[in-house]
Amino acid sequence: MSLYEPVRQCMSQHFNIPVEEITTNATLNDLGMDSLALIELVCVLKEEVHPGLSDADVAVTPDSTFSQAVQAVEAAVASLNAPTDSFPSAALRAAVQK
Amino acid sequence: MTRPQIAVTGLGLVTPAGIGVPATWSGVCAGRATAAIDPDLDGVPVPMSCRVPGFDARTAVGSQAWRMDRFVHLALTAATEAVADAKWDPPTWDGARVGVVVGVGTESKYATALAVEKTQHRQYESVSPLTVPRMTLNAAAAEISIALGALGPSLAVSTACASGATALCMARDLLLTGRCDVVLAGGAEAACEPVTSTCFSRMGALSTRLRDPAGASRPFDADRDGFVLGEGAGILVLERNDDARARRAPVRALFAGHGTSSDGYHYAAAHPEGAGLERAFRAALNDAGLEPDDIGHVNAHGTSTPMNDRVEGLTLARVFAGHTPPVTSAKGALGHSLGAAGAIEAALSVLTLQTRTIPPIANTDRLDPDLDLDIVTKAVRNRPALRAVASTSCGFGGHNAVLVLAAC
Repeated sequence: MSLYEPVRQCMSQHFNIPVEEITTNATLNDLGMDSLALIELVCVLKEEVHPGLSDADVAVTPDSTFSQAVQAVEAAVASLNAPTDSFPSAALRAAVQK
Repeated sequence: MTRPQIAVTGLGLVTPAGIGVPATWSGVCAGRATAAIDPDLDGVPVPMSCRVPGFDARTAVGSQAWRMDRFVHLALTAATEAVADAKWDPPTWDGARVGVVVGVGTESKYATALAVEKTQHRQYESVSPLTVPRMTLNAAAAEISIALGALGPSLAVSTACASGATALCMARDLLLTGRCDVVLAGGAEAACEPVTSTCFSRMGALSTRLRDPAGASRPFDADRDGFVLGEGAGILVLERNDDARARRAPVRALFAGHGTSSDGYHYAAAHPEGAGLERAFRAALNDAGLEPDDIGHVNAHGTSTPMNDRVEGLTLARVFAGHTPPVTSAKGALGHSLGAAGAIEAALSVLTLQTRTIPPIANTDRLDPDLDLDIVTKAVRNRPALRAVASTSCGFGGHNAVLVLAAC
């Protein structure tokens, strides 16, 4: 499954960023996220997307575009074992489907 | 050498009576108790608190709310109100001359509790990298400086439950010494959280009147049995009176003097004779150039604990030689917001001076028979000739701070 919408929802919910501002070409810096915020984002994605994620393995910087960030998360997830049934979380799946 | 007078030009309040100065003032004047069973404290020994109602951090402080703990949300909200009340437009002030002093007793522990849980489970990579900037006590002062461009000295003051009052004392000195032209000062606390609640209940400090939460906080009452954990923030804008007049700012009151002292006696208990509080009170009167007879009202610390109210009541009776002016305590209505309380009560004292109206102590029916005080209960009392008010604060560790505010 593409992680575009799950990552978008996590960012919107946790960092209070209006979802319509999170567009493919917006940089994370544009969205008000600095380097510590990116580590925080991976903490949230660990809870919501895949428990094996590590900020060391998600290659993003504040200059990355949102699209690049999603690709980095997808690449990191792909290198891990298949997620367990409970991931993404039910709450997040429901939010994505809405 | 004559010292400059210090003016209070702005007030900002976020309390369990509501968000903003008008909501707080009307709730306190109505003697409306805010203590209630708190679902977020479910399961702890005393699941009761006084919460700020309807507070949405995102609405109050904007999109960066996620990186701050609740005490910072409350502080920023109060600071923003206070600055607007003082008719300051922060982009136009000389930020380097503006200081910030915020008293905080303990941090909110929202971020800390999560980090402790993750660390105990060795989930180190799940610990938020924002935990440190969220948990440090200076976070409220720092975020106010960032948000408002207050670029002079910015610091936290921590003297337990006297923190908010102590912060105002330190701020006054920054103005008297000429180190700042404007200081935003007060206190902020958001401690209605399971760990803090449990720890206070283990000290026996909290009221256990769970059958009647609204009646639990009853300062100076014969049947009081402890305080009710509260939260809130109070920020005052202080500047030298001549400067305030020169920019045609609204001057609400004068901050005429202050006194601080330490009991040097016990880590939690007040000195049994209130020796430290009496020294702070007399120092504040001396600082203001006033005599006890000049004080027309005392906004007391009055926590509703058996020990505080007895020691404080006896001390006031002694300072005023048995003839105390009318005494109130806002904690009957608002509970005890620890490090914020002294600042909230200073703001209420300013409002009392402006309106010549003393709010009643919510709940209190029957004065402790061991005390000889003129307490205000049931309804507001009007004092048309009121000229000066004293506000007292005491903290665990023996910290005392007394503020004297005067009509302008």
